[in-house]
Amino acid sequence: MTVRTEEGPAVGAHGLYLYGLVLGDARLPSGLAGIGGAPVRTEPLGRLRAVVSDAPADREVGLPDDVRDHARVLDAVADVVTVLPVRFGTLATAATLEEAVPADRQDRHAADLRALEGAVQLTVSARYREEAVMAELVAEDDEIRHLRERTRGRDELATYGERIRLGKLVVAGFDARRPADAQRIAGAVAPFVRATAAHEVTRTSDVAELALLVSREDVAALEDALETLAAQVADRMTVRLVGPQAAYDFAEEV
Amino acid sequence: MSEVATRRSSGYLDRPQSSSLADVVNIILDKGLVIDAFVRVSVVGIELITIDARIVIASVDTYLRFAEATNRLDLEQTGGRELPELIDDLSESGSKGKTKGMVSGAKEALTGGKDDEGDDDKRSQRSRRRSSRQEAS
Repeated sequence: MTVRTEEGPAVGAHGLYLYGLVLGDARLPSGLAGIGGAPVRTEPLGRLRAVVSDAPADREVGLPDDVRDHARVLDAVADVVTVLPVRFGTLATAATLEEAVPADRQDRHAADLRALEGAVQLTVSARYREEAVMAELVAEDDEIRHLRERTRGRDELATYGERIRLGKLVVAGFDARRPADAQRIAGAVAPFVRATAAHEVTRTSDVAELALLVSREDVAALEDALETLAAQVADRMTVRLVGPQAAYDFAEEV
Repeated sequence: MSEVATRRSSGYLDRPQSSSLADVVNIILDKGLVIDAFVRVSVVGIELITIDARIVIASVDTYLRFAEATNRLDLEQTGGRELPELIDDLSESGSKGKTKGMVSGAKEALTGGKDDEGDDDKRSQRSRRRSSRQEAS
């Protein structure tokens, strides 16, 4: 973790905090407040416009609230106009803005923006109800059932090896179920998405986390499909849908 | 956000109206256009959070936790009933505990497993901000 003090790069009153890029004719929602409460506006950037606010003059950017503000601004902008999100924590000055995004890159970003036109990102994540999956495993797997009987209520040290084996088999059971269950989520959303980016899942109880690029007119149908799916799988999974948001996962491709 | 986002608040699909800090960190922190020439600031108190949240859990501790959780399942109580029925019961009776488990799990990820960080985002945020100020000064 890096914490910069007053010796850090001078951002000061001339600094701009950059949220994203929009096409030159795009109009932002009015009255939008950015990081530190500064009004959000656009600065010209060749054929594009950069969505910016003045960076706080008296402190560094990087508090959890700033991350939230970054997301809030981008989501509010994305609600009305297509925006290419810039990664959190990007600062510039009006002078360096044009240098940082030269004309050929502006062309590429403009093309990306047109490709994203009319689309928003939603992120769906599913998690197993651990108890339900473990009950399935105990019922289906003889060795798990046997080890459970051998270790249950016994001295932990005396059964240490068997406990490890039991835990390994249970974790492997989750791992074995995940691909088909993840595929079920992907299948349910497939008719409504323009593109999908799968996030790596990190917990045993994770089923899948998918960033979805969805046309605005398909958002309601996607929600319906996921509501139906969530009801079908409710005995063993929880399904969560965040968004619509700016197309964070699709800013560099498409 | 939009009406679309909050159109359905009931039902099985968890549809949070505003993103939690965990969502925001998870969804946006390392995403978006990278503009090389720009200064990137570090995220005070966030870097550690993401590292914690992304640790791939495949360790002895995990095995022991799942062994323990499997042992805690109360299958006997359900007698000779069929599996689907049994699972219904389990997930119903487990749903309250489950919610708590998910909340504390997220908090664990956000606070590096320290249980005394505070129960809600605001409290842990404040303490994080406090500690970052201390580090900065």
